Amino acid sequence: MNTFGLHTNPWALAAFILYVVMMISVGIITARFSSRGIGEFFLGGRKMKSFVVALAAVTSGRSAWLLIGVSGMAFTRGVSAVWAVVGYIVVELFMFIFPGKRLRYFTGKMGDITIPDYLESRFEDRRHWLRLFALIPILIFMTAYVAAQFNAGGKSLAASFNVTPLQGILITAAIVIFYTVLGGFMAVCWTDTLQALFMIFALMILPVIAIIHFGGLGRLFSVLKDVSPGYLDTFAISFGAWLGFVGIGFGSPGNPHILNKYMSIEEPEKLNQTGLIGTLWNVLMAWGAIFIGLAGRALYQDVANLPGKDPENVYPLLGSQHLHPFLFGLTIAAIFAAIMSTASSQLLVASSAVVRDAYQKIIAGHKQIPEKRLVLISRVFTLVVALVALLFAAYANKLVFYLVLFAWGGLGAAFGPAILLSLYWKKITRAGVIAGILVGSLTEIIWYLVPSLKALVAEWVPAFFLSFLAVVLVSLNTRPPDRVEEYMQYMKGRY
Amino acid sequence: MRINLACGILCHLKEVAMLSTIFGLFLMPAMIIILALFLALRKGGQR
Repeated sequence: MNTFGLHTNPWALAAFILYVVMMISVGIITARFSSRGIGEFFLGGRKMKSFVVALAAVTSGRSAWLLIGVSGMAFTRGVSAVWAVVGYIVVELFMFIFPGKRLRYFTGKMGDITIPDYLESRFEDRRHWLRLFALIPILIFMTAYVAAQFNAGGKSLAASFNVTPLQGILITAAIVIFYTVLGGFMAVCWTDTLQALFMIFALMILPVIAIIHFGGLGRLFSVLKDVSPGYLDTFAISFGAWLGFVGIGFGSPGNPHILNKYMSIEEPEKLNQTGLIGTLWNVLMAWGAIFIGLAGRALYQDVANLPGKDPENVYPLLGSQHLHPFLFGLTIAAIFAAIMSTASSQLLVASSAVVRDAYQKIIAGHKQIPEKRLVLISRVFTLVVALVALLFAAYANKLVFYLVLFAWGGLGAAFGPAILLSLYWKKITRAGVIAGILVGSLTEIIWYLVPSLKALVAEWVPAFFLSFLAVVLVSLNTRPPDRVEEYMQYMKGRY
Repeated sequence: MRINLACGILCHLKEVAMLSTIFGLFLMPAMIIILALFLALRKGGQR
């Protein structure tokens, strides 16, 4: 299992340790700020800067899928793998600039910290039905997502160091738990930003060096042309697969760990430039991963030549053979950066669902709980949710790619249509949102479980559209909130 | 000089790769960045 022997090289080990020390330091530095109150712990007190929000939003949405999944996909299927990245990049660009800004203005005015908070304010839901319907899928999907990340961390650690996958899972979880429990949202965003720097470094430098070693782009394409007839053709893809790939973007508007990044920015007017920075980062990272896969295919020719005959190993293998050991250590650290940035963001959202949405707003009701006590409870439950995810991770054996996409698509379908419509459509109602959450979640699960349906198109595409349809149809037959006109003004920043 | 260099690279790429390859690997990311620049820097886009 120990494929890359990172532990035997002091340079590589030093680079990896440097990364871990940086993450832990951020947790310690931000601990005091996050202890001020629940708003600080779960949303950074809405004090986040543009650059940090841009990088945190794009890295927490990507995970190890980008580095090892997309590069592996490009290795296997060629240039047409670009369709897997186009959808989410374009959707997230629009999310930053349009819905994200409206969401920030409204939640800032209403003092909302979580997405269920937002839904409850927007639909004047004093009985907490929406909060309840929202927090259940958030808890289920987020915990599964965190477990998948821990599992990926374990797998990568086992491939790089002399540890078993289970020990790897425990180490990954320990680091994430440490800085998330201590530093909350502020630590998550700052570590995301540092992790984004690691990721962009690895995804830019590795393909450039590999292509130079190979003899340039011309030689690369000459070799790849002979792999298979459609390998270099962007359009060598069936319509169903294309829709499934581009439809990955449907996950972005409904994933609370991305949405809460928009809600955390200090100056909402800056979400335009934030979107530009985020998109630049997204594009460079994504095409870097694609070029890694292509360079790997030209160099190693067949999947049989990769460790474990796994195309997902092309990224670490290229790094181990073409980079200085210190840089290789950084590229391996970048995998963990991707894993941990997603896991910590998801963990915090799952914990906020328990503490803010279930405990503070439903169970405690109108009872005033001191902020310090709320922060303590938040820290305890962040630990508890992480331990539950850890248990799942120890028993999860499916591929990282599908685990992540299942949770990603499920949240996208459950919340995406409802969130988008609630920000622009005056006629949307509470019942419509509940219908959207139910239809989106169920379609995602049922479609995934029926092989004949799944063969047609990936489950997140029909789940998103059926959820959208459910929101519209139910809303048209129910009554919207009384103050909807006022809310629409809030969303434009007119208080 | 720069134009010649760009033309040289493009012509070379055309010899070794299809137009659809160039579209997927170079034009598509460039188009997304141009769209991002347009949306971020457009007038009246601050709110």
